[in-house]
Amino acid sequence: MDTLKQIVGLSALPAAVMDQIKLLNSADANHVLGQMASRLKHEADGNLKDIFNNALLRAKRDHTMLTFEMNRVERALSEAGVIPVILKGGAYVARNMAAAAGRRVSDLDILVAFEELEKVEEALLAAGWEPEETTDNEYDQDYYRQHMHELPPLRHAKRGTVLDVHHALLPRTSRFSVDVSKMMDAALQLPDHKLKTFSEIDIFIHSAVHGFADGALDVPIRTLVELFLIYNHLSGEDIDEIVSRATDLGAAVPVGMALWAVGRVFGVERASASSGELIKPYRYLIFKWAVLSKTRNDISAPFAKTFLYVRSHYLRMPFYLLFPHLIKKAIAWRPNSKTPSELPFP
Amino acid sequence: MTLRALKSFDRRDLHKALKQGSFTLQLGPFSHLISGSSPALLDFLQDTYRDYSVEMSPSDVTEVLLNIRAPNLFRRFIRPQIMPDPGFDVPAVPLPKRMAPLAYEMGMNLSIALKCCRFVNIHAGVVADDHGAILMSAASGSGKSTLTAAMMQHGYRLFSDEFALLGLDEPLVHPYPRPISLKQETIPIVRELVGADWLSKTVSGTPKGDIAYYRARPEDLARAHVPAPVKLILFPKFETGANPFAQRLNPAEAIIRLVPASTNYSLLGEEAYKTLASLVENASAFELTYGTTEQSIDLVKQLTASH
Amino acid sequence: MAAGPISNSARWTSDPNNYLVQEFDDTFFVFFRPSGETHFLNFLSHGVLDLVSSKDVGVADIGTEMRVRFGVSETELPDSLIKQTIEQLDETGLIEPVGSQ
Repeated sequence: MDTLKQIVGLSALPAAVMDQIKLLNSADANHVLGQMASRLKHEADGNLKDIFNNALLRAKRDHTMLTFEMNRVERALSEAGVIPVILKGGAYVARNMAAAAGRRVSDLDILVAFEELEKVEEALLAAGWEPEETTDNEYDQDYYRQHMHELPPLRHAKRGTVLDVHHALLPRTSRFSVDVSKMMDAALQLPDHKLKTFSEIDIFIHSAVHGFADGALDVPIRTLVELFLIYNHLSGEDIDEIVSRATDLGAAVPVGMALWAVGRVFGVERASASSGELIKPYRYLIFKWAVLSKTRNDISAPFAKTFLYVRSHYLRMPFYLLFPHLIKKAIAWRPNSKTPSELPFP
Repeated sequence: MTLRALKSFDRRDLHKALKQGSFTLQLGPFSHLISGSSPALLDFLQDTYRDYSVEMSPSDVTEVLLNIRAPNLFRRFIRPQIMPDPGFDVPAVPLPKRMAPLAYEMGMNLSIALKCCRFVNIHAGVVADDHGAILMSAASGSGKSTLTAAMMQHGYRLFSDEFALLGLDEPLVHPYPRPISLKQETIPIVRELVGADWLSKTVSGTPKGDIAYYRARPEDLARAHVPAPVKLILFPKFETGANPFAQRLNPAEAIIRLVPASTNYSLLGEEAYKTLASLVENASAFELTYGTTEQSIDLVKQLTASH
Repeated sequence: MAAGPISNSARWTSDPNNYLVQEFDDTFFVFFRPSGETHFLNFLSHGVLDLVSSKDVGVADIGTEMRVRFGVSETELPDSLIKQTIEQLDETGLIEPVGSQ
């Protein structure tokens, strides 16, 4: 587990170049190279600095996109009288949290009260969002509306960005039910905006619920790093309160698991202690073993194997975003506009 | 380990380094870690990359990673195929193993195009002389590669046939002299121009037709760390039977054509905007229409004489 | 399509520190920092952007000022064209109604 500590800067980088390459490759394949870069950039020079800069630039572009999308949502809802709660990556970016630094983000997630869903959807459709092609059929639309905790994903027709509108944190089918209304009541407005995020303690709880609810054995490294960074950023009072808040919200198990993972993987004793108050240490042993062994596999997969089986998110943005969509956006159409040239294949 | 010309290593060492993924190529502003054990790749590197600086194990971490591998276990053994894997999903089709050179060149291009953000990357051919660089941006089939190869016979050094790498803080283009990829009917034309010794074996029947590579010359490689200011921006257009003609473009028209040719303009945002604005302010832009390689050379000569 | 509801009484604004402009002949090459996107504006779009960057203006006044600036009549530059330009600029985020945030 030393690798994860190296990624977040708790342990020194390995000395051998090939080991450094493996570490970087692993961080990249597990989508945490940017987080690593933001924490270690001041100690990097030479090629390492270039690699970190590449990762930080991508994250910076993502953050610009996401911040602008928040602005567009705010504009679209300006007369709907709804103040949505920004979730996950968007919240980290909006609150400038340590978990945001270097993190890639592709979609914006917002949460509104169930009663406001219809009004919100209407305003968004009027402002250029439309159902994403893959779910734009009767079956998917009905399925989402009946069983899911969110609307079918919306894609903006011009910008191509994806927006998920939630009314709950977990699917209706989930084993857990987390009291989202209490979290919404405690949400904090962003200064000068008609947007909110959860309080920081609830942001940690949401991340834990997202990663650990329903006993998913497939906890990605990205989630572990994220939980650590959020936890590390909490105030002393928040850390004191986490056990009672998680219990109150009905999230004792997922939060207990998340705290266990933060304690075990990053050596944070206080998190381990809080975990013990939420879940009995001898329970979930198989689950805990599975999380650790998956983490080990993901991180220590030999070089070639990582290449083979783990894919990075570089291209999560579809190709049309790589080719600047400036031409179709041009307000003044120029007769000499050319279609984008093809990729430089040899 | 130290950098040496690839030809100074014996085949066994090269094979071992490629197989274990420690083979490192240093070129221009980038270092590349390459793995892949196909004999076709080794043959290609020993021939076309003979003068490039390489080491058998990396002395530093590398910005570019490329694995030339089988698409799956099955295809390692049964009618073997290979594909480039730069560590992220790419729209590359698996190719028969003998086409390893194509997979390699394609993978290198995708890596630079999509991963590297220290420069504004524009898909263009670039050559330079002592007065500055000429950037040639065109779709394939426009004779860009032939023109690049021809310019090299007229006293220009090769920067790249694929990428104009524009510095973000100073208005200079950086060399990245990889071999020039030649397709179909341009192969005999360039062979005639530069001599058969300079061309790789032809890889036939690829999805892009026949392909051969014109390798960079030692003098191009020796100066691969020396950037140059751009003085001319050309948009070459081949038209059978055309009267040769150079049409001057204003800066806005040049930018409108350059932005879609960039693989990372949108990613770099403000820095790319400023870089392109300063590029078109300091260089003259022309659309060149021509029907033969000779005509294109004459047009460029006239333009360089007057700019 | 506008980026949200537009009322007839809306006044428009823009923060000139949010964008960079480079003029080439009659084309304006504009980088908008909040979206990270580049836009090419014609003289009219740029004229509107420039005006609302200096003060908050409603659509009728934008029309009047543009006709004076370019020395054209209402037949040549009708309010419908101004409205269309405003919607397009609204969609890019370059301008926004006062108080939409």
